[in-house]
Amino acid sequence: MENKAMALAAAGFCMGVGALGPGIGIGYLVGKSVEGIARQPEASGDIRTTMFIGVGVTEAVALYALVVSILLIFVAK
Amino acid sequence: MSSGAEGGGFEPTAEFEHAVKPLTIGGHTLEFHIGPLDLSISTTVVYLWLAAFLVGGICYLIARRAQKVPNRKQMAFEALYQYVEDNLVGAVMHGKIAAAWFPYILSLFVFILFSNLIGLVPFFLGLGEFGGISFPAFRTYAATSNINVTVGLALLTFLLTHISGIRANGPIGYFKGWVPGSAPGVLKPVLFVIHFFSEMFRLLSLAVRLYANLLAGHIMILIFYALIFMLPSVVFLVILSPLIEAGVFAVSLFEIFVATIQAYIFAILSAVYIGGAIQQEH
Repeated sequence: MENKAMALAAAGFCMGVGALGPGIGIGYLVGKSVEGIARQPEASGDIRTTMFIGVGVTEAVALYALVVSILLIFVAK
Repeated sequence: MSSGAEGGGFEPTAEFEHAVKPLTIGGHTLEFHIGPLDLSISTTVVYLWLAAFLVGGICYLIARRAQKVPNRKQMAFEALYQYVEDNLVGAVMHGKIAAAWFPYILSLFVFILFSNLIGLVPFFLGLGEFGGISFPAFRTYAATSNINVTVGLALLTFLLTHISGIRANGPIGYFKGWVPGSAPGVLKPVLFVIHFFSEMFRLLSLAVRLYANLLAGHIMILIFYALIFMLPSVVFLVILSPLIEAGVFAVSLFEIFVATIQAYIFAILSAVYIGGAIQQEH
């Protein structure tokens, strides 16, 4: 029982801490791209495309934490 | 944790175990083994076939009636074609290799897009039973929410990257391109090892990014529905289930967005890796 309890606590902690970095990263990234669009509206298509690529790659890091979290919840006995 | 939970235990990830078991039709279990390879037909395999036939069938039907003045379906497909050619392939590959690799990137993009979107459509999968009453059971399942499928796709891109890099630059030249020439001689092995591990990690991250995005979406939908099973009485059910349903609807709309973006990211990262391997400019 204690093993499962620690696994659950660790799962919560893992996802919580694991969402900090990507959260800050994505916020910074989108902010910079909004700035770029404001300075040069003609390039908004290119900037938007690059922003989406950046968001996809950064979000993957948060998802690694999610995968570890799910493993801890459902596979630990 | 949930007091008075009726409906038995509901484990969201147990919903995904059914997808890798071999199917049984009329008493015959469709299990095939060729040596160590397990080629049995499971739900995931059927969904992959469905995606492949849909992609091939739709493209064939559109191309069969290609006219100079395009009709609407042809215009839509040409818009997709043009978009992939300009933004996905043209932005990262230049010259002849863009034409050579464009079919692969387009197929990858359309196949992953279709596989992701099919995961939001419920299919009739026989009769289910709940509390003694049997009623038709629908299930939604995305083929790409299975790690085996995404590792297969990422492995394809990975092998094509290195094979095309070795063919374009020669085996020695290709691996020499991994280390920037301006590095001091002592650091070169260290940089090589670091680059080697980052190449391995690209394979893993391509696979896990697609898999985790889709799995997270489906688990969120399942957890919303699990809330219904945890409600203690019928009164709560009547009041809260419209809210729960609205939540599932919102998550599903977001899932459409995520499905498109993830297909796009997989395709453009494949193009970047293959283009970078062939056109090494260090």
